[in-house]
Amino acid sequence: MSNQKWETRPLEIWARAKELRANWQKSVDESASAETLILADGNTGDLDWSVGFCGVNVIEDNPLGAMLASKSDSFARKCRLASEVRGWGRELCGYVNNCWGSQFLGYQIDNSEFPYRDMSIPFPDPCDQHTKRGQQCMDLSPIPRWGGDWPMYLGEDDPLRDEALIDHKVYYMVNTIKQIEKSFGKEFDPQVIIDNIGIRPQLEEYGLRVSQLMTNIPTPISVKDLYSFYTMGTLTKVDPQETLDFWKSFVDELQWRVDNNIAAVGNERYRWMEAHPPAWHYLKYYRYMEQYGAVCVGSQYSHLMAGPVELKEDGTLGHRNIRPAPKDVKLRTIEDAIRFISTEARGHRFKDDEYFRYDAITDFAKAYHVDGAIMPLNRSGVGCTLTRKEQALRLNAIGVNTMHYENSQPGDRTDMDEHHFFDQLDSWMECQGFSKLVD
Amino acid sequence: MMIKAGIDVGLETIKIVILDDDNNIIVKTKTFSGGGKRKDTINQLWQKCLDESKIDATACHIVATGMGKYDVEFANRYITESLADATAGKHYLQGVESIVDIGANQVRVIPINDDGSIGQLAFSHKCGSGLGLLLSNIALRHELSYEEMSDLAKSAKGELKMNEGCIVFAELDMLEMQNKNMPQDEIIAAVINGVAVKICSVMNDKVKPSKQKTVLLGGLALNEALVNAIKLRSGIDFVIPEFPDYGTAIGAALLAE
Amino acid sequence: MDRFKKILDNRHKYAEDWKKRTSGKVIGYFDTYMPEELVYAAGMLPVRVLAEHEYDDLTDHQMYGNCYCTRDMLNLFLLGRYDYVDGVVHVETCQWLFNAFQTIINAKPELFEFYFFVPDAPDLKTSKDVMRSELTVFKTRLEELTGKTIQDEDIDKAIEIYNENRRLLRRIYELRRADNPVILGSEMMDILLASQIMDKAEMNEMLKEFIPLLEDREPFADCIRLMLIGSETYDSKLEKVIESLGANVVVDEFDNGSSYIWNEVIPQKDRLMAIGLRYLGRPHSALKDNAWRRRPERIFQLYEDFQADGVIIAKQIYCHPHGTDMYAVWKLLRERDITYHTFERDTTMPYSETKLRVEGLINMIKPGISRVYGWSSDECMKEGGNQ
Repeated sequence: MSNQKWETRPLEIWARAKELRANWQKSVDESASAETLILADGNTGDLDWSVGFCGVNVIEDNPLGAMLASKSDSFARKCRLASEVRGWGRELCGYVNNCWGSQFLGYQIDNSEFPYRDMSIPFPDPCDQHTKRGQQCMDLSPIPRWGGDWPMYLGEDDPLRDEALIDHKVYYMVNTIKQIEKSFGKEFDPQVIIDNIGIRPQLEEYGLRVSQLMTNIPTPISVKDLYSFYTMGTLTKVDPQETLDFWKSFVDELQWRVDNNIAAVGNERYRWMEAHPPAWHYLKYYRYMEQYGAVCVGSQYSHLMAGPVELKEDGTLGHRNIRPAPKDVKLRTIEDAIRFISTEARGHRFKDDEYFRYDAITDFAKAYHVDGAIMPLNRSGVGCTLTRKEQALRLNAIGVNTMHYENSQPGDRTDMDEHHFFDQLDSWMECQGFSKLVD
Repeated sequence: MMIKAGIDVGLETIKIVILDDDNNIIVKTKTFSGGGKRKDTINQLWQKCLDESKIDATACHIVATGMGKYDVEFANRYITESLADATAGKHYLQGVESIVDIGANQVRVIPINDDGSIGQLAFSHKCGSGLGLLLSNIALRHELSYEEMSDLAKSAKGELKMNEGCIVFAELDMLEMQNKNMPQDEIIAAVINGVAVKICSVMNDKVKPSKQKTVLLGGLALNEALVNAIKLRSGIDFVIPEFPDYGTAIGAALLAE
Repeated sequence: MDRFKKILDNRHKYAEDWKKRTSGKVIGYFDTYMPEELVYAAGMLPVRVLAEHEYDDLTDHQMYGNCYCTRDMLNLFLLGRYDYVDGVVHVETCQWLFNAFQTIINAKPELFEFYFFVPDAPDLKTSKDVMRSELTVFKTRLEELTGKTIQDEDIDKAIEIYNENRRLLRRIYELRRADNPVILGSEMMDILLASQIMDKAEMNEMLKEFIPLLEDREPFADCIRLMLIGSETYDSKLEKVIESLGANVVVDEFDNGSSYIWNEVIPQKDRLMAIGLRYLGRPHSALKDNAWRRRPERIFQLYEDFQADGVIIAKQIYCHPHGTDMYAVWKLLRERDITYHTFERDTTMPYSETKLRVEGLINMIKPGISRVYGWSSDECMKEGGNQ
């Protein structure tokens, strides 16, 4: 590599991550049987309570839709067409149209039969597409769908407002669990959730450490690599202790890399950030930018900046300052668990980006010593494009150069013009005075 | 003497400019891009330049730019259009603060920082791409030359409006007007005004161009009615060089070493 | 009829005059889930921000991918058309509308603003408590803005005025059920839109004068009866195209059409609860029809009640809530053998192309019908190339 400044080497944690992921996939495959219920969506907000049901497989449409777009453009297009001819709008999110298009086709990418869902629990609200999710499988056959709310308010802290909204959230979740028990005769075990809550602070601490270590120059990993790990224990369900062990090893390795100046990109000379999900079907732009010695250090999305992490006044990253849960509370029921983690309803991880935490984007840029930002403009999937233009303006105001590229949606490559995109990247970098270090 | 050549391979046309040591234009020529035979067209046009000017090809330093720049296989250097535009803008106007390039396919806005570096770029979005092609199609449909089109628009009252958000809808609106036998000059004016709004939209996207120190480049700058409409809407008193359509090619040539 | 149309066409002037006359404040809102009664009880005029297209070279600065309605809303604020507005309120509904609200308050930070959480799952047991809590906070914020306490009597009066308005508008709707209605779809839509920007007390008086006149009108001749559904509408241009072809829109299922007026506040001692329940119990929009699929059945019910012959689904481009609902609506219409046609609307509407579509639908309903110019065709043909 020309102009190499730092040593670079593969991550050792890769092997462990692959193993855990393979084990998870195997367990999903093995548990698939006539007795197993398939829960569509199931991304149940900030408390993954669906794991409290034994014999319930969760298949989320977002990662599935992204995977389809990434693995086979032609199959994803077939799926979207199957959705569109049935009336689903072409401006809908690609995740949704890919996943449910496969349902309408009746088969999956490997030609196996589509696993029809038994029930659906959408995760409402971060984006309207989430709110309306799961209606696709409900419309196909009359399966139960328990749509709920992500109650929230914007503006000043108001404990009274919190009370009603949190009560609503608790009711929705507890009621849904009861309904599942009643409808399917499944027993819910709150202890699994309580155990997960027990490891939550440690997991958040590890997550924060990863984010902090990536502020280092050179960054020990790029966000492209981070994306391979960050679903470990969440979307990729892993035993709680194994999850903790994995994240501890991950943090240790990153710390070692920072201590020894091991870089993600050996010739790092330009750090860029992005916003929200990248084009999952087109991650090669990360590598393309590395030809300029440019590394992506992530986004508010990848570093959970709009979740449990926030930037402190002294410029360091820390845990988000929210109303603490009562101390020494013994959690016994699912309601205890929900109330324990839901202490306030103010703000929202997507919707308040430009409202409640107006400066979060510029704080991020400062904390990560960012030179530029590449921000997608997605034609469909409202939640993936909202506020991008305003965020770019805010970054411009503090001297961070931004580039937008147009795409359909992170799970839909219809509008992606590869030639034009790379042309734009070249233009953008050249105008900032950079030429490629390697071809 | 080193001969500096700039070749701008655009979507619609290929422009070649050759400059002498003092940056005077020795040769300038252009032709349609030639569709699938673009490489051949470039080679033929370049050879024609050499033949007519009697310039020795080996004495030339050639910089290629434009969307099809890599089709200029004999170029010494490839640069992006934005850099070429910025260079041309600085050449034409001392203390230039922004360059606006209105081409067949793309609209670019290139602000120049106080230190001469390039600022926050803005490009037309997909739904606003191909404004020049839209005008060409409409000229063709009405059997008008660019100049005739411009003259017609200038005489119109300008009361009709068309969709300026999407080029496809814009064309649909234009067909609708034609279908209703609306006056030709009003239709042309509506199209030109709509295109001007879309161009202004790109100018307002990031950093608004300076009112006094903005250079206007690109083939569409030859359309007087369009330029007037943009000026009226934006209030910008553009500096327009003698050959705005060659602006990007000249910028490329200026970067030849 | 002309009075409503005139007010609608000059809505900014109407609001400015209202301000001068009353010295009250004007609150702009974006979605019909906004509890107008409370704003009215505070002595303010709630004005629906209606999209209206003007050449737009400004909103690319803040927006991408938005539906054109929300772009138009921001454009109008940036152009100063809503300079008389003292504040903006948005409720939890479509995200594009939220984006219009958000970009407007970013561009105009001096405006009073409030974000009101209306549950996306309106039929949960606790949804009513959320509404009540949000109304309580909203009431306090409005009182801070005006410096005046909103009394129970103010709320009672506002509820009565709003209920009366809904009743009067329902009366007109009922007239459309007749075999030969006395009102055109375009007229109904103009009245409905006017009601979203007018002082309801004033409008009620106008309606009381207008309805008897309407009832005495000569009924329109037999025609194709159409139902109009889809994304919210901000004008009556599509209805006029339909009328120009000898058909009439006899009913709609728009969020700001029939759904806006269909149910009343049922008064109770807990006034805020009463208001909250009205909004939770109204016919829901595509986005709020979340937990259950009730919209398709409601569409069918209206179709039957108003004896429509066919349905036009007019969806705004980039309108994702309706993009998610079309499957269920199509399915129901097909299953019940109802003739329908779907098309996407944009900020402007090419007449010939739209007419061709409507003619196609009419011919599906009654094969062989050739173009018949209807009641407002002349006006429609005069209006230029596009709208």
